[in-house]
Amino acid sequence: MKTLSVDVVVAGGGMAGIGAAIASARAGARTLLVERHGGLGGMAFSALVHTICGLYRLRNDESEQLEFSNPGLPKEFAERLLASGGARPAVRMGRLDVLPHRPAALALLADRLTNETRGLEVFLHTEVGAVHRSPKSSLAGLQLLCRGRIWEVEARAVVDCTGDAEIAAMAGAAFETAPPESLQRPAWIFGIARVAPGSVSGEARLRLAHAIASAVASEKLPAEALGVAFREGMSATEAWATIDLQAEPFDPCSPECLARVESTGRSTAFAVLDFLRSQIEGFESAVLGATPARAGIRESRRIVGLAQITEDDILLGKDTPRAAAYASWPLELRENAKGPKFRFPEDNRSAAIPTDCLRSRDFSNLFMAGRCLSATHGAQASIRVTGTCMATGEAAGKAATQLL
Amino acid sequence: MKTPASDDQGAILLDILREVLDPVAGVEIDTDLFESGLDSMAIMQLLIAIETRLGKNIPVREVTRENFKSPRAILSLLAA
Repeated sequence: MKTLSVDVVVAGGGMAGIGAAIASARAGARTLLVERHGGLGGMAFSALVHTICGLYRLRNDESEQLEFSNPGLPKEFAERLLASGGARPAVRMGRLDVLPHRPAALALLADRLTNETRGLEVFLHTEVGAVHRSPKSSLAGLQLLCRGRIWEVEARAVVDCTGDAEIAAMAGAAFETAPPESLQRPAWIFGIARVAPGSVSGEARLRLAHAIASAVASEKLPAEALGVAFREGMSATEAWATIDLQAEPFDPCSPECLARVESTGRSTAFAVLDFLRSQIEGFESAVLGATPARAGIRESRRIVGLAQITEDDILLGKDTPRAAAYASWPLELRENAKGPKFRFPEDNRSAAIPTDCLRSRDFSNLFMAGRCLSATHGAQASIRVTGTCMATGEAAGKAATQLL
Repeated sequence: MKTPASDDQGAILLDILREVLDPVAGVEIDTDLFESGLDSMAIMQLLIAIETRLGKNIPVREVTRENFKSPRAILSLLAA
């Protein structure tokens, strides 16, 4: 067994965790960031979520200037990602502006940023095995597991950026979970290379939808293929396919369910790719471009905080003097695999996420950020996106250092 | 003059669109469907519903933005 003592331990190296760890270390705290996969970025890396959403304020049309919703790390990260060639300039999709990126390049930038941050240590391929409580309703530290080796880490503050609220669940802190039928559905995303330019945009996109609907109707493709949506990739010859899965009954924290989601996603992806290659103009030479390390999970546990942001707060664009970060994404409801339903806030206003939504009600030194912060099911459909995750992570990392 | 059958068809199409798109989008006969969220996934749901509930199979060459811009446009496509 190995032991380690730090000021702040951040569990989960997704965008929230990266934000929390960098902010904490920059504030002078000795910080440890723990991630189970082989690269940082979370859903934006391991699940191949290939656009950063929630980065910009909402706007009516392109005559209004594109502005970052959060000026700190999300802006810094996006600008460096663009400068490194890991992202291409923001694109407008319907009423939304997003930053398309290459997930592997995002992880590369996360490596660089964390490596250059003094006082920050990153553990990859590491799981949290247990959470240690102290007698005074606070947390004492975490047990970490890496390849058969156990680490006991003592920490003065813990930031739960696991997405699934794993720290809260293990510590016994209160959390909420939506009923299985209303949880936002998971997605299995893959990349396609050597596509003829223009094959997934404009009118071709509609013809593609027709071809897939017809193939499902004639049972040439499984019904799950109706959950697929295509987007252009980083270059004209690359495309992304995102398959939303109904995954009934859905339980994002059950190993049996996760196995079912992964295998259904994988088999649907291969069936769709074979179909495209053999039937669709522009895909004759297409090959599998990227496969995810895991399915994308949009919603699971939500930790109960000192405050909770609600659907109305988002829709009214409510502000507060103690804002941790701003949410600038509509409610993006994906409670079934039939496509997103958007609810936009009044006058496109951004909503303040109060700092108290990043603090556990039950443990004084437990903070949270990303999609497991304290929000209602409805509000979570807005705050869960990549850009907002990094912003809440940054705020949670700073808040954690204020305890020290 | 409209036949009763085409009126039924219009009512059924509006029902389908209200289900496929966000029910709060308030789809009417001249609603801009792409503005209201008719993306490629919703088009798939729409094509399948048109086939199963209206018995109409829309050929791929007719699947254009112009023909799907509004319920009225889809109705004239179905009538053609």
